[in-house]
Amino acid sequence: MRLGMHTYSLYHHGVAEDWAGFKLPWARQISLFEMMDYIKELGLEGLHLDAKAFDQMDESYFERVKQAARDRDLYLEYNFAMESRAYDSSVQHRVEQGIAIAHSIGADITKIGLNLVRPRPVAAGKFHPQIMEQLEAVVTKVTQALPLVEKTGVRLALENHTDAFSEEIIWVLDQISHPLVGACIDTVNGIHVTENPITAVENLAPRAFTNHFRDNKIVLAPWGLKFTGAALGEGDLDMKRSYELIRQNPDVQRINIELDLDCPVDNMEETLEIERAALIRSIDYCRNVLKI
Amino acid sequence: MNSDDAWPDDTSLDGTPPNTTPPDDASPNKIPFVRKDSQMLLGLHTYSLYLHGIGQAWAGFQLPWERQLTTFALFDLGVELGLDGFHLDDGVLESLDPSFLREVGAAAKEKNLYLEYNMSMDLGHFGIGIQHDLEEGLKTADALGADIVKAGMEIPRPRPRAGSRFHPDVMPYLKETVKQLKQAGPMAASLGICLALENHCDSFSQEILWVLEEVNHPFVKACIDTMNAWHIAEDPMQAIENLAPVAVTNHFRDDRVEFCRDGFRVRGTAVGDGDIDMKKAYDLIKTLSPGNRINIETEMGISLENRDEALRLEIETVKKSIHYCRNVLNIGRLGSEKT
Repeated sequence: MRLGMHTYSLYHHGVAEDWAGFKLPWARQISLFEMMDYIKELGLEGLHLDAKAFDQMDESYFERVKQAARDRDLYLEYNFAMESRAYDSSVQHRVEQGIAIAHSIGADITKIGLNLVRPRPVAAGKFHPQIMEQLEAVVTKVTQALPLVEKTGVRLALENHTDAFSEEIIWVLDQISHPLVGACIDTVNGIHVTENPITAVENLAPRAFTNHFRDNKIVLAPWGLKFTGAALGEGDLDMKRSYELIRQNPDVQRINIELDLDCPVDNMEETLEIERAALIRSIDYCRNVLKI
Repeated sequence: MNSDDAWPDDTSLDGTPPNTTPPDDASPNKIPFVRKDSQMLLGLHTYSLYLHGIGQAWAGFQLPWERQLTTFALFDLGVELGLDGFHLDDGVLESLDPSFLREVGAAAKEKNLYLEYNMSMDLGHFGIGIQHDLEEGLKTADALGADIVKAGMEIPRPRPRAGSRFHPDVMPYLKETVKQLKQAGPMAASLGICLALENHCDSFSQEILWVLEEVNHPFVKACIDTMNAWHIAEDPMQAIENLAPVAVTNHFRDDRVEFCRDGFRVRGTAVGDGDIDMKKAYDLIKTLSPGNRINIETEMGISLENRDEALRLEIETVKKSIHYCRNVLNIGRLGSEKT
C-alpha cells in the first residue's frame, strides 16, 4: 500500500480548488514542482491533484509534470468534476477532457465528482426523481467516454462527493458495468448526506480504485453541530475501520490523505505552518498507527 | 460484520439472558403512554426558546440578556400558538420547590396543556441541568402532573466518536444507566410516569435499545431525537426507525446541512426547512410509536446583536414549525389519526 496526498490538504497554500465559496486571501505559496519535492521530503509516494495545482494548462506543461513525477517516483491521480453551475468551475471538465489531462500527466486514475444538485431535504433524496435524471446523464456521459478510457487505460473513479449517496454511486457503476470504471471513496462525505460514513465506505470499498482518506472532528454548538477538518486519527471518524475495509480490496494500492482544516487566515505564515504540521501528524498516524 | 450489526458480547449484566417477563406492576391500563384516544398532540420542547432564556444552557452558550418569559407566560404563549403541551426542563422552572411545581402543574392543567419533564442524569458530570437523580426527577414530574420524564445520560465518549459504539469506555456508563433505570422503574410505575431515555448527542440508537432491553420494564422507554444521531455520525433516519417502536416521546427537530471549506455545519431550522426527512420521521413515529405526541424542537443560530430581533425570529421559527406540523404533516387534524 502506498501513501499519497490529496492536494486539498494544502488548500491554504493555494494548490486546490476553492470549495464552499472560500477565497484564499493571499497568492499561491507553492508550485506543483515544489509541492512534489516537499511531499518527497515527507516520505509520501504520490499526489491526487486537481487543476488548481497546475501552474499552466497546456500539453508541454503536462509533459513536464509527468516527467517530474516520474523522476521523483510519485504516482499521480487526477481529480476533476463534471460541469455544473452549482459548484466551483475551476476544476470542472467534460469527461473526455478530464481523461485526456490525466493521460497527459501520466495519471493512471482520474477521480470524477458528479456535481449533483440535490433536492431538500437531503435525507429524503436518495434516488429522488430529480437525482435519477442526473444519474442517468452521468451514465450517458461516462459511457460515451469509454472508448477513450480503453484507449488511454486511465481508470475512472466516481466519488461519493458531498452530493451523492454511496448506493447512488453503485447504481451508476452497475449501469456502466466496465472494469475500468469504479469508485473513489471519501471517508467523511457519507455523513454530508446523512449516511453513516462507515456504511458508505463498506458499500464502496469493493468497487473502489482510490480514496480521499479524511478525518473530521465533531463539535457541538448551541445551534447544531459542525464537522470540521482534523489531522488523521485526531477526529471522530473511525479511520482504523475505514482502512481495514479499504485494504480488503486488492485493486486499491493507495491511500490519499486529505485534510480540510479550518485555519485562521489572519497570519499567513502561521496558517501554512498549521496546515503542514497537520499533514505531518497525519502521515505519522498512517505510517505508525495504521502501518501503511 | 456489517457496521450496523455491532452488539456487545455481554448482552446481560450478570451473564444471564435478558428477562423478557414484564413486572407484575405493568398491567396495560397503568401504562400512561398507551394512547387513550386517536388524536396526535403537538407540543414544544422549551429549548426552542433558548434565546428567551427558557431551558438549559447547552454547548457553552451564555445568554447575553435576562430571561424573557416566566413559566406561566410560556404557557400563555403556548395556548396562543395553539400548542397542546410542553416538554420542559429544570432550567425552565423558576423553582423546584414542590408547592411551586404544583402551582405550575395546576396552570398547565387549567390550560389543558400536557407536560413532560426533561432531565439529565449527567453521568459525565458536564454540568447539564440541575436535577440528576431519577427518583428526584420522578417526584418533580409527579408534582408537575407530567406523565413522562425524559432522561439523558451525557456519556463522555472516547474519540473517534464514530468508532465508539459499545466501546469499553462507554459500557460502564450504559451499565450504570441500566442500574439507575432498574431502580427507578418501580417508582415510575407506581406514579404512572414513564421514563424515556434519549439518544442524546452522546449515544447510538443501538446503545439505547441495549439499555432498554437490559432494564426490561414497561415504564422505561425511549425518547427519539430526530437529529441527534448526526452528532455521532449515525444515520439519523436509521436511528429514528430503530427507536420508534419503543419511543413514548420525541424531540421533533430539523437541521440543515451547509458545506464549508473545512467540512460542514448542521444548523437549526424551522421543522420542514432542513435536511432531515421529517415526513418519514413523523410517519415512523405515528405508525410505530406508542406515544401520541410530537414535541417540536428548534435550535436557531440567530445573531445576538439585536435582542428584540433575535426573540422575534425565534418565535417566528416556532410558528413556522407549527404551521408545517399542522398543515403539511396534518398533526392533530381530522383524518391524521393513528390507526
